[in-house]
Amino acid sequence: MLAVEGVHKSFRRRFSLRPQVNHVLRGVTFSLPRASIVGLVGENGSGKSVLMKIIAGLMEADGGSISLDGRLGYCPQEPLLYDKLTCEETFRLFGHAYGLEDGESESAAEKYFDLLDFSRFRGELVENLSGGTRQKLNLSIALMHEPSLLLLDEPYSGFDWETYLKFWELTGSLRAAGTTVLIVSHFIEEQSHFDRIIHLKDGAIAGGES
Amino acid sequence: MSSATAEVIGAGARQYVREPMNLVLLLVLPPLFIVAMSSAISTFSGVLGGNLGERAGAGLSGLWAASILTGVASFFLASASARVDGRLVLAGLHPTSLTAAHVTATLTIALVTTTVSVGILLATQTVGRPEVLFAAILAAALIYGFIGSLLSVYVRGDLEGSFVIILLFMLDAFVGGPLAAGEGVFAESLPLHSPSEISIAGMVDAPVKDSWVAWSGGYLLVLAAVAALALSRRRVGG
Repeated sequence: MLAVEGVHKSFRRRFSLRPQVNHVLRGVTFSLPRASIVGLVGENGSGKSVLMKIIAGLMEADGGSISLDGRLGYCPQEPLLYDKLTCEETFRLFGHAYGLEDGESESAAEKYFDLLDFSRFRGELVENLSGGTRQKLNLSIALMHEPSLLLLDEPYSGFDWETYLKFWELTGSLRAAGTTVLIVSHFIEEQSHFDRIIHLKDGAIAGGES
Repeated sequence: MSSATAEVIGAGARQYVREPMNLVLLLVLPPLFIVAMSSAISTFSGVLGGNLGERAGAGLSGLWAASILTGVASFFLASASARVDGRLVLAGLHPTSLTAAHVTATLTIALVTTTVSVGILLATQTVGRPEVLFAAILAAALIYGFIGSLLSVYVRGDLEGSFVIILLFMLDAFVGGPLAAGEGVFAESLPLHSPSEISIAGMVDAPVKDSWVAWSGGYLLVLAAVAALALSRRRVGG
């Protein structure tokens, strides 16, 4: 489903008399099978968000390769949404981006309005939504085209307990349908939700994979 | 036009009109600028070595208002949406759809600021050839609109981008324009030089040189092409 092979990434400080290179990723290699929920954990600055952006295609690696089989869904940590569009308009716009027909976008919107319980905000502008409701929309947009690989960067920040439980129900049903879910987090409380946990430390996979 | 492009353009327009301050700025600033600057430009021109009458000064103030407003508005629009635009492209939207939306926004803003500026000038001054004045101000507004779009790709930060546009505009207006009777290759090759000369010709019904039209058209086409290319290749790191 996803194969990450020897990925390197460094950042150089520009416009400095003493050039410094920060090696963020140092040859990261792992692969994920179909129908699994995998956690990618590490301390702040361990390189997990950079790795996620490289897998998503938002950033180029300096070396190594990423091979991905199927459609990708990406839910960034910070909701990337247009503030002046309503929830419904956001679904329609991203539906066009995914190549969905209008009817398919509407069905997907209804499904996630119900599933994550934010139907009453369908006509509300994104700028007027609470942080948790924005995160629900952010997640729904990543899911609406039924991706085969779902990348979630700190997806449940801002969720209340009920939504947090629904989130795990949802990821469980996605796995049952054959979707691979990669969740980035700086800490993982309930390891039982995961099939596998990858620890990233100082830009490399640490030995303690569970 | 594809349905995706139409949807993106429609979404962009809805977002713009849902911010009332955007419309207020476009409709209110040009009249204020023209009223405040018209006679001052004529006086200031004498200090800088130029020789502009009040009608010419009024025409120039309308052109300045439209160009700086369109430049700054286009910069902010493209800059503010960059990261969400990147998510849409990642989702599968072709970058040309977003580029078409940004170009459409710049065209619309330029048309509004030009129409307001020319309307105020028609109401307060005697305009020799309104169609020439309109074309000159529209060209200047579009030139700065595309400069704003281009800067949004390469300059990170609203403050930094605004500074660059205002500094460029000041150099353009005070060195290259008719205000100081700017002559020579450097002054004449600045973006606003030729549209400014045409706008004054439109105000006082003077002949328009072919070289002014060529410079204005050339700037417009090259900047439109470069800005469109830069926007469509913009890579957003999320």
